[in-house]
Amino acid sequence: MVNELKVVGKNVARIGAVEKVRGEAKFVGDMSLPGMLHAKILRSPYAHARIVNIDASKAEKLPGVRAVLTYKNVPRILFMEESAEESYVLDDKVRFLGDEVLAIAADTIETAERGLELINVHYEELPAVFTPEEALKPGAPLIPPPEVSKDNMLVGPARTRSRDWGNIEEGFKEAEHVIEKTFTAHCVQHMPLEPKAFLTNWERSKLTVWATTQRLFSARHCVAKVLQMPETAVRIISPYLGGGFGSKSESTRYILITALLSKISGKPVKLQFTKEEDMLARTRPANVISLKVGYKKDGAFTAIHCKHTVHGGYSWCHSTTGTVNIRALYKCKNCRFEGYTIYTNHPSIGQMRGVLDTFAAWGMTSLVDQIAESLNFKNPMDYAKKFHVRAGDECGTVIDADGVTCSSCGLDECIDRATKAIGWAEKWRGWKTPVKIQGNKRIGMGMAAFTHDTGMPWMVTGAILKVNMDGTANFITPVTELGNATITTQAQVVSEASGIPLKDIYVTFADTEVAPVDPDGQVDSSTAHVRSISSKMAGEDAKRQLLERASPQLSAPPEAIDIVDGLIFIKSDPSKSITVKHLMEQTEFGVVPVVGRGVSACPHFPQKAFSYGAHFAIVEVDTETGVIKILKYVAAHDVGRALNPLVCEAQIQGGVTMGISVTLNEELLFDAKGKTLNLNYTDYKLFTTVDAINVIPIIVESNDPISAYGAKGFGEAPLVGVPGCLSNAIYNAIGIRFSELPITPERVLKALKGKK
Amino acid sequence: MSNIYYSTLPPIKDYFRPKFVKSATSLLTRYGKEASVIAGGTDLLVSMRSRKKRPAYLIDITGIKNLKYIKNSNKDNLKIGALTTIREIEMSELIRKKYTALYEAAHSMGTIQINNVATVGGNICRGSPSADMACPLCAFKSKVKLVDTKKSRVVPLESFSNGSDKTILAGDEILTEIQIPNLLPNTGSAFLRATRTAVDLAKVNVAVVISIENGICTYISIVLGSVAPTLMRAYAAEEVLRGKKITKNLIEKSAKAASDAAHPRIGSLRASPEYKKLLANVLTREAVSLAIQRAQGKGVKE
Amino acid sequence: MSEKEINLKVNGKQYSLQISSHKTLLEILRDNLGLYGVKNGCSIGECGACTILIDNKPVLSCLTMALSAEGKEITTIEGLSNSDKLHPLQEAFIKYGAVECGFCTPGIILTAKALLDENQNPTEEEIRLYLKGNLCRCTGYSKIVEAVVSALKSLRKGG
Repeated sequence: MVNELKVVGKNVARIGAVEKVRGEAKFVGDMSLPGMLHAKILRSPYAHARIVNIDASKAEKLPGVRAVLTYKNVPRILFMEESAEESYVLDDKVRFLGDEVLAIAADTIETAERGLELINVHYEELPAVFTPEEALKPGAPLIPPPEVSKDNMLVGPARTRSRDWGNIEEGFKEAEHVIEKTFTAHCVQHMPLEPKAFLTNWERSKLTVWATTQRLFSARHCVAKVLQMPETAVRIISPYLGGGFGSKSESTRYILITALLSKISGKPVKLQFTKEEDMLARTRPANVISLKVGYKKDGAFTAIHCKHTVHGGYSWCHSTTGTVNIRALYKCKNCRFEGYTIYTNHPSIGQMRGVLDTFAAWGMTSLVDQIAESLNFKNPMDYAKKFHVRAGDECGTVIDADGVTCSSCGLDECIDRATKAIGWAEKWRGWKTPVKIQGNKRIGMGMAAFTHDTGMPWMVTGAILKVNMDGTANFITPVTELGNATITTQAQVVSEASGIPLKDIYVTFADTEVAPVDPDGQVDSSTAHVRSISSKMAGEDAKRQLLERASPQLSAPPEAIDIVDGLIFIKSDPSKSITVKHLMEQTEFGVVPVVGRGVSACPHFPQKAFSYGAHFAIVEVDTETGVIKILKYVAAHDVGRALNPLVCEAQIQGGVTMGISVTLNEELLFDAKGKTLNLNYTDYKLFTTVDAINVIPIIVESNDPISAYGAKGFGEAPLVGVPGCLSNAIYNAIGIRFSELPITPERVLKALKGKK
Repeated sequence: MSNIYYSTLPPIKDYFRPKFVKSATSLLTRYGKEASVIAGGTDLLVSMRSRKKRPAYLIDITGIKNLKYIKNSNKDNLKIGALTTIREIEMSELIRKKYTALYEAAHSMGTIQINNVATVGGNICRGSPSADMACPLCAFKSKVKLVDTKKSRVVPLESFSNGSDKTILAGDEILTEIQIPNLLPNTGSAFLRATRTAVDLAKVNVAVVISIENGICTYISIVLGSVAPTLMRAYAAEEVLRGKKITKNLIEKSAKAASDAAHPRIGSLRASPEYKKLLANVLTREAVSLAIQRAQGKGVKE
Repeated sequence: MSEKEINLKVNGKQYSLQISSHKTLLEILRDNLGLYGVKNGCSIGECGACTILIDNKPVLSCLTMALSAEGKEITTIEGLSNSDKLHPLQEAFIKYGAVECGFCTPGIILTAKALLDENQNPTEEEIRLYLKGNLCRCTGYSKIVEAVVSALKSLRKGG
């Protein structure tokens, strides 16, 4: 079966790559419409304030200013993106320094900026809170709208997301050892290269939006709700996107701002964020995870208590523990997961690659390393190999149905192959023994075995393949193209399933007008897993119709015929054939069009798929300066089936590099008044070509039984494994286990000093 | 005041491209504080976008001929025209071999795109306490030539910056040339900078110029950047080595003296004052060691 | 607001434009000439997405005043390949999977082109050093470097 695939599993060139290398691929910022106006946003200078009055009279009189939007002329209707809190488009309150106060649309950007300069806002500054403790103190200033929440804690369906399995108290009683640790991570930003942009146009009461959004249907639903229109009157299109990583998941507010400016002015409006604005728009929250685990003397877990508190600006999307997949990694009968989201007067928080699993994985892989050492396991990965969840084991997390089991797990192969690739046997000298010491430099190695989601259990999606009169086909998918080659891999799936060559398939993607409804969009590493199922189904459906149509032509029943690479032939006698093209060209009475339809829900019961990985790293720590260098990094991932191996490798390398940069180097800094201090590339540094190393990717295929062609998603997993892997390698080098991210040179030196 | 994140540069009243220094200085005299000279523009345009600077008139001096050169005259100095780009300095074999610290600064700062247009004059005129080109130039005891419509003056680079992002450049003056005195025989130099990632302003930068005769230090100059409101001559650190026989112990003592003299401000996003002082120690030690090796004819950059 | 006439030579073609004096070359190339391959990633010269070639040298168009570009040869990504035939760098980027979201791609290809024109035999270290002004958040850079190395071999063969 494995060897028979013709398109899936091949390194086909990405769809859109030619346009991208030519500079012809259009991003939202590259689009314009005749008569288009330019929008700019005025932002709050205070972390928390009431807007007492806005005097826009001078701006409105400025020639070229065509629309001004404030909380006064915005529909006062709450909207909720996915499982976020409800919020207003614009409010008479600002909740973080930089929050949107007002928007203006003008003939030129210069005029829009000049207009903003003429606006006079009277703020009443309110006390602000910047820590979860301050935010929850009785009498603390309330951040969300009072009609949404009575306190500064997440209220939506994702509230706490707590869940128990078994009996946690009994579990700890049973334990022969108990360890407990708290891990803290600071706020970071996704930093995709493309800042957000939106272009809106009204034509006869129909709104069309070109948007940098990963979640079209959710945005459309909210936009329609706020504008009090049917969803049919809202069309959202996402062209090529310049990276997302979650930062483009909550774009509804900006779509509404732009749409309302467009409505008032009667013209198309473009809103282009500057990089600073893009960094303010959504951040990954700061968070604290407390892990308490009980285990037997052989290492088996008897109790795991995970308490996760996330804090940051209103409003937060998504659950906290919803993406904590510890139970899909290690077996444990007695668990308690608790998740809390607390609001502070910082920029709004959102999801970022790996979500909270990054920290859960960090915590668990650090503790597991500690346990393995204390129990005298020869090598750290011996623990994972002994105790990790296997296919068939019960494994659900907070959001899963009771009793769900793991569908596939290639973790052993990940560990084995990565162990070899890093040169473990030759280099590992034992616990607390660095690989090498050269003067002030200590070289250590470590690993992390971990898992992550590949789709939320409530996700649903669909796809359509319609075959044209000349045998080519249009593939219509809700998938967005963020740069992770999703349209390419889905086209490969549908080509494989239908038998129509990839070159004859044109992909129409991310357009709510034509694509089947996909409420959750491009999040949670779901496409390769969940969307492949509907893409495959659509392809197979089209194929079935083609076979039925060809049957009389070839004088053979449909079961006896196959389609490969555009050729329809009798299996037992391939010389008897007809091309898809020729078949479709024939017109006969009553022969209906070929429309392949696929719909799928994320497989969630009785089995669920998870994305496993094992990372190994060799690091060098300069004990004089605290500087950490990565000498070698191997990342092995169980992708189920590599739809496109080259794409898999690039995702792994990119995700790990982002992970290393975030773990060692990235942190959004705020002053005492809530101002973001490093709101640009000058002060918030990303890894360059010189800082990055060649990450060695290893693709493991466990051939997941509940997936299309065995494929699982894994776009986030490469980042999830990094903090744990690096922490463990650093421990081997200098004997310190870090529990605060990022692990900067100054933190390393402080810890080394403390150790003495 | 509400916050606006600008997409555009502020409108200007006029843009000039003089062909001669005299025309440029005349324009400066005419428009005074409302005018700004622009060369590479990599600093100025960033300040303009954030509205920190709003010059009404821009005087683009990149069209002025004869301000781009690296001349080793027969007299007693090397002359570099102010419009010489960082990249041109990096690619100069003469500078790489003889004034190695200056080469290393040009090589490690910025990016190819920035260095193709950024000028050594611009780097100096910014007056930044972390100026990567000014740091080694200071260590080489360079002088700068400042010209206005009536006269010119030559001042030591060391006194050119008198505060963070401040210089003694008069409103109607243009910096036209950098003069580096000839070096003693057996001179070596080195420049190091510590950063977070490969493209970053320096946490600390150090330039060392040293001459060695029979194992004795006959000349020493140590300049640190990013540890004080202006570039800092580490006099005490120099004293430790000047006229002495070089030993490992002395090098470490010198580095410590440099670190002690450093007085970085609180609030840098790149590093805390304590960490900067630590880096000052490490980098000075490393730079002095490297410079000594080169002075003794070892490890010269080919 | 000052306006001036400017003559620009872009991708081999001459343009005569009337522009506001404060415009950057990035704005003119995109908004006046419709060359959207030049990307605006940050406007402060840090990301490299706006990289173009002026007289064959990579520079940041967001930090270049349009008026200063008079009389110079400007090349954008659109001017790299003739009609349908791609430049070896463009082909290599596609072949080696070095194009993900594509936002950094035009800038990084032009910078790489300048490198290969200047240095016919760069080591991997030299390639990485030359490209350090072009940020990419998607790929981790490995495939980009591989693509440049491959294009180098191709150019040597006369491709």
